Amino acid sequence: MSILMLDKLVPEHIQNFEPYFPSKPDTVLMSLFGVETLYRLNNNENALGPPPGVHRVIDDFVPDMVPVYPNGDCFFLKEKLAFKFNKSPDQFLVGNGSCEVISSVIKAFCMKGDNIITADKTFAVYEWVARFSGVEVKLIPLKDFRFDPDAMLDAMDEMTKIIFICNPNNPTGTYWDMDTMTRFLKAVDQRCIVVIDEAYFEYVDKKDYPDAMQLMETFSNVVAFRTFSKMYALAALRIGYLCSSPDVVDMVRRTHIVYSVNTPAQQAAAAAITDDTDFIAATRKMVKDARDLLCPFFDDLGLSYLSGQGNYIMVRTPISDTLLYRMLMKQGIMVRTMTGFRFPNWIRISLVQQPVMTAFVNAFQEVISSVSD
Amino acid sequence: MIQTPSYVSLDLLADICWIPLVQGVLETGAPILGLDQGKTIRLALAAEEFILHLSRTSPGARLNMTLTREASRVSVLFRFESSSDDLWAMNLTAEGEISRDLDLGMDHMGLLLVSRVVDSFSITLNRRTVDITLYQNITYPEIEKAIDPDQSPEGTLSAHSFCEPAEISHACARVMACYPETLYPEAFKTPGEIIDRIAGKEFFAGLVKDEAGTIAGMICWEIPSRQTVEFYGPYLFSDNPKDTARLLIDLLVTSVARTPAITLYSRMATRDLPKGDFEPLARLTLRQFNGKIEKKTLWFRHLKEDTGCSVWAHPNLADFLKKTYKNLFLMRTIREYKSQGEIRPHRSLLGTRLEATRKEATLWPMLDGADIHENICRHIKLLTDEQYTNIFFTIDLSAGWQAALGGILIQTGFLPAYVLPYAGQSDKVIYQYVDPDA
Repeated sequence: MSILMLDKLVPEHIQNFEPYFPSKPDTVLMSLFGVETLYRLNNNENALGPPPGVHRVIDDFVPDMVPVYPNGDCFFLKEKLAFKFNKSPDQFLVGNGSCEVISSVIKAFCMKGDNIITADKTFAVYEWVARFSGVEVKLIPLKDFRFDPDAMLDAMDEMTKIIFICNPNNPTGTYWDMDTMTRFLKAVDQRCIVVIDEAYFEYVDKKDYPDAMQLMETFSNVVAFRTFSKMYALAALRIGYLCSSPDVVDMVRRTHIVYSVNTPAQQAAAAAITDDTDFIAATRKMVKDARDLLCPFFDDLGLSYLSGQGNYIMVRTPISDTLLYRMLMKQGIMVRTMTGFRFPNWIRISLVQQPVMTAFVNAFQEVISSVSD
Repeated sequence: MIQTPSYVSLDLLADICWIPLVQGVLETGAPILGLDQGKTIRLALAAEEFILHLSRTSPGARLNMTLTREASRVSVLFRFESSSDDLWAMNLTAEGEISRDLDLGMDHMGLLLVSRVVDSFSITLNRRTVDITLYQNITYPEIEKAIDPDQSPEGTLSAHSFCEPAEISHACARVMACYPETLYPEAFKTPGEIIDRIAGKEFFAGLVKDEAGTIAGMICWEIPSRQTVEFYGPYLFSDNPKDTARLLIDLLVTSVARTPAITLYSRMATRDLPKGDFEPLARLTLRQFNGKIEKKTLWFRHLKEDTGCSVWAHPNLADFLKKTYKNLFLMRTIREYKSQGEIRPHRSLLGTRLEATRKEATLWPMLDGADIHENICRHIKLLTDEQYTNIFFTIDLSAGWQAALGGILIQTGFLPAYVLPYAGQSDKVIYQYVDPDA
């Protein structure tokens, strides 16, 4: 029998790509770290849980519905989105989380030799998907913790197919205002697709914050990404979507897997965006209260932090972020280390209810005191 | 641009009739890949002996031979399916045994020759598939230490991961002038090797420069295993060590942050390492060539969130592990294991890496065998006879059979020195030999 030579079968860009290994389940982590409670401050989940309408959908989902395929095109959800945002249903494409639509967009527009442009310190999935698709990635350093529009424009060439802008940026919380975004889109001049990832759109309460859904009326190369995982707390259901001009969506649809969004996710998402005003207001208040607690706390410790938009805050730590993670985990607090975002010795903390924030403050204080001794 | 092919591959059967073909491929191919004549002849000889050996021990076995130009060396991989019973003859100590008992040893003389005529070799097993890779290093010229100090950098400093070969060579000479040999890799003396390894993405370097291009410092790193990055430095050539060190370390960490590596560590960190960024892993006592005792701190940090794993441990290692893991806040499930008298192969094989100038040797188990106690003793004797004063033995705690060696290692004079997280499939424990006569 011949010998399998995998290194000759697998494309080089796949051999060079490193798989992502997600964290272990909470129960396993709790057992390993010897804690009875684990506060999740690592994934920017909405600790209030989903809006009330979603509870009803989940309660009404009965086993008899399980054998039936979901609607392959998210028919009712797209109608709902179209109504809410004053668009047509064919401007939406729903995916199994935003990660799936990232993949679909890259597959639709890029081939070997093409490149994408994004920042070096932002959501990693744009970079990952491009790399394992064999597409060159141009990473532009942040400038003052913000995407740098001029450097991104300078990096463009004839092979640039997509620019990814995370607005507000995860993890810095910085954003481009309307002027910056408009000037940028004019300068791009339709030469490539511009993805504006608005995963934290509903958390932003700033008058000068641009809405990609509106911008695409003027700039047909704009693709907006939104998710139900952050504000609407449907992370376990995995559902996100993109919105763009019908022609762009038609192209992306060709590479998009149908039936990837399950029925409860479609129904819950539709329920979530129905009458969501009070829910969003309550969530924003929770985030503000948490921010108001943490900022003075970090000030007192003399630590640098970034408190921008979104339901998270970043702080620079006096010890390695990965050691701090382990020490906080021993106290039942799970934060996100930022080395993987190329911010060594920073952590990102999700902003949730006061009792949990207080538990974080106490644990953080204790850990920092112990290493200072 | 037409590129020179970087490898040649042959599928053949283990039979002496193919030896001329194999020799022809190597003698023609290796010089094209940059190997000098002397090393090519030795490589061809090693390959001939290996085919002879395999044709005796596994006649007719299917075999793939791949000759490859790596960054700073040429390798020949032999991949075949076979029993690994006969590979013991590649032990560093096999020469003594074979010369004592030629009747026993003649069948294995070939493997012994193979292991001695090449610069290094490795053996890996994946079920019944055996990979034996022979390496011949490209020869590079040595440089002298820099004599004149550089002009001091001025103005704004910035870190750069793309470096000109001349800058690397220059920085290596500066490191040699500013730091003792114990704080930089041997290859700094032959920067051509460093430059080729950087081009081949086997080795990495970052420089801090001022706006005029004056080099203020350098840091280097490599990836010894899938989940670890080892770094060297930071080396500083300027009067502004604080900023330079910070820039170098940030460049290093951000460069490797999105690789699969979990552990970033250094056995050659300089005193300018920003200490808050790293955790002390161990403090080693090393005996230098001139007899001087050197205390060296090893530093590490994780690049990812460590969510724990399971490790195997011999009962006599459990307390050391518990204490170490507690100090490092590492969550591990320790599963104790020792040999249960099961049937084992007769002969073991130990891997060896020698660093002659530092008198440092590292051993690791490649193949288990009933003779492993004696085999380890033979290696210690040979190494101590050759004045190796720093002898380490590394085991991977993901493998129960390696963990079970804990008892034998203590009996043969080793003590656990430190744990290197995720250096193998899981953590590795590095034992250090304590010479009773020292």
